[in-house]
Amino acid sequence: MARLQRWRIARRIIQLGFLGATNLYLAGWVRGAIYTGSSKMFPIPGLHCYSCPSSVLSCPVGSIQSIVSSPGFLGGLSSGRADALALIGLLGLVLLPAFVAGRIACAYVCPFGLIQDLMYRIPAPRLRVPASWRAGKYVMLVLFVLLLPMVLRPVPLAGGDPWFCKVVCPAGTSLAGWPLALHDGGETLQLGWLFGWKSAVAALVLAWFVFSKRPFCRVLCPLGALWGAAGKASLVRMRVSEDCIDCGLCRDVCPVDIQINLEPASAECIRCGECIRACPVDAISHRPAWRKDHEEG
Amino acid sequence: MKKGSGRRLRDWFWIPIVLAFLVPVVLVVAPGHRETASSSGEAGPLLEGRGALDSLLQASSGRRLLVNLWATWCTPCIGELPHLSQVRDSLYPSVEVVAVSVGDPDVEAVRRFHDEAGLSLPMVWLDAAAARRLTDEWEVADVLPVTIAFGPGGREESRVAGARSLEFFMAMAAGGDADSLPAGEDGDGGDHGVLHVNVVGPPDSPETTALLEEAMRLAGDEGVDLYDPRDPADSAAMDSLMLPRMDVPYAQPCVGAACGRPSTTPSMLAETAAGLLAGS
Repeated sequence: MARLQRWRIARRIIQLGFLGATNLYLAGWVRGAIYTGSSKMFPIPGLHCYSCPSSVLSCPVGSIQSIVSSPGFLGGLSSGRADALALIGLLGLVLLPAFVAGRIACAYVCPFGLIQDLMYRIPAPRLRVPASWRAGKYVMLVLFVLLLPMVLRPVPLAGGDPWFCKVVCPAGTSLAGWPLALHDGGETLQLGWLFGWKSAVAALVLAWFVFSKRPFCRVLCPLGALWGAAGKASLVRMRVSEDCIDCGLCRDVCPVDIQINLEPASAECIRCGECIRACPVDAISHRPAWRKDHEEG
Repeated sequence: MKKGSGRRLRDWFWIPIVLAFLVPVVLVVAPGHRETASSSGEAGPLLEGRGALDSLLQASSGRRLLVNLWATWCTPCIGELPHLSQVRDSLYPSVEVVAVSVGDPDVEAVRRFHDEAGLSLPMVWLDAAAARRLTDEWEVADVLPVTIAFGPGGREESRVAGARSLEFFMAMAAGGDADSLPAGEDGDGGDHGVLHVNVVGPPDSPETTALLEEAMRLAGDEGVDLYDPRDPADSAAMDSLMLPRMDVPYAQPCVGAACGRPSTTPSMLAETAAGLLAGS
């Protein structure tokens, strides 16, 4: 298990490195303001709110919603309007890591993934999330990130709303809404009932992190859904050889609670590599997509 | 447990969890679920920015809405705003009326007007960039005032360029389409379709002379009035016409009861007048 520990430490250092590199505007926490420089044009490969005071990049989920909810988006897409076509470029950028190695950004880059990893280390009773709940994040992606922002237009001639950000995202509430509201003291921000709703959602989801392995990634994250689906066509995949003794250790160490020997092509796998280091018989490895593997299920 | 051996109840719990997030969506978009501002009697708020406008419009979903685009330098706009405020006083909350300043580079001018006029309708000030985006999105020509009526479902029902009377706006608020509305042009805006230019500046200034020549080329001798702000009689006439006071000579073209923005150069005047004639 020593090599697993070393791998975990290395992964944690990489996660913290990305956290630091994408949160360079530390003055934002003191001033209660957000960074508005040109780097905000680019999305971080992870769920991290545009309005987090220190963030120097944008959130890909927020950016997708911003484009699809823009005024006349569907017409613009069909007529080739540049701001509507930007969705294609954005999706290409966001999906790039997924086509290489599935949800690898969840394991090494996503700040909200790091928070879940760390909070699960708090000693507490453990709750297993049923595998069927994984479907929730696909509904989140289709309904709250794409469909509702695209079609719900209550304001005449204006755009739609980023509904995932507006009624769901606990990352936005905890890392942007709460700190900015605390700074503001209720003077200019209009903290209505929706803020109360989102605060309750964020508190419940954060509490869930203590009891279950990465529940947000597995049940609610639309980015995880996007990457998981694209990961089915990734260049680097998981391989389990016939040496597997079905000991279940891979599931014990897995941050997203999958048993890789039963589902080596799982869309849930975040390619963290911990199961590879934990396997007592070295049966798990990465393999390139073009190499056939009869063991893949 | 083997696949296909039947699912336990907890396997389906993710569905109510996800669907629960639809509750706030429904509450936000439900027609007329929120009041916007004061109903009548007291002065409405002056808000700033597109976000404030969108919030106002969103809160107006489910009721008929009149959006008036105006500017403090637009004489006919100032004349018709009290009519629109009266419409709101009479018909709110079934009808909301919002006045959006899209031609004032400085919010202070709008704030002064707002404080002096004390109208009950909510006002929103947009800076130049936001105003340009709005007029592009709404496909509004470079002419003021413009009033657009939206139905309770958010669909545009009618729009008019140029100032109108109280009766006209009451008919518009009742849902009349553009063709069925009475002509109802407000004030003495002159003949519809005929260009009129007010030139303001010292007659001995070369800038005034250049503007005057361009104005006469565009509107003819009969279609141009010159006002010298230093002359007490002209100054009083400017006040009665609500012509703006600027530090430099300018010319303001009007067609009927619609006016273009004050122009400080002959080329700007020609461009504004052309846009005005095309849009009115």
